[in-house]
Amino acid sequence: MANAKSLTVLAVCGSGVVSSSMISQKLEEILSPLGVKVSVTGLLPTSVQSYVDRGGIDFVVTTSPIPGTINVPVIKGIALLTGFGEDECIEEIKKVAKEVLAKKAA
Amino acid sequence: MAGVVIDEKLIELGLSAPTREQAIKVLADKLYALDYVKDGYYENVIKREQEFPTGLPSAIPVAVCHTEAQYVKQSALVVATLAHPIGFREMGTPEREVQSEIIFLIALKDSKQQVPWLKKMARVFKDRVVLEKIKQSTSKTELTEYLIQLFAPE
Repeated sequence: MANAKSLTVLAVCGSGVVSSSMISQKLEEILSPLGVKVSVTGLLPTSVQSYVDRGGIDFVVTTSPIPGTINVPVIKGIALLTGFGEDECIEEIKKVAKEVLAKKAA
Repeated sequence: MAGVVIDEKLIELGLSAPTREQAIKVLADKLYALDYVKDGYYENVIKREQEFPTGLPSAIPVAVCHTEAQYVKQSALVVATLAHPIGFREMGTPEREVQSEIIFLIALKDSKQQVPWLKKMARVFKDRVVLEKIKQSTSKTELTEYLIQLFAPE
């Protein structure tokens, strides 16, 4: 990756747009204070595996179960919509983001 | 109209329906009456609800039913408060059910253009005060005005 401080994330929901749009805004809010540039693509659950297999995706945040085997971290993002367990979810996103960035820098 | 229509005609207060399908039917009919959606809209909402449930265990449980853009002629938001909670399967955890007290039926013609609007919508679910105010509404006019304010561009 050219820029060690940038992440490419998939936001996944049943429509590929509605709740994933809501999540993408949260991801920016969470990650930009860490100096991380995040590029978010909204996607349907059934498209995730082939998309991730092509490479370049750092992690996935989803409101829907995803079929198949996803070889990057998958974080459940419903808490970002409801507010319940949101702090834990935010911490998990930060933790995964840091781990991914550390691996890229190595 | 480019925006998302919020209108008294798209509000239902104290809706009493035995099933979620029947509740959604009442709300979808409001969109048909205004010619905002195409044939098959209701069936598609139901189908999607089965595949991708939209019950949210928010501060006050809600359901955020929606469908693909192809069935929508004019973007609009339908809101219903319920006389009795209705069970909706939970988004992301379909084996669980939430007892929703408010239904938001979101009809979006071009969801990508509505991203700023969706971000405002996301704030509504997390705000108990806002949800409580919607739930306690007794006037369609007042609720409509309140919703317009909530979704006003910044």
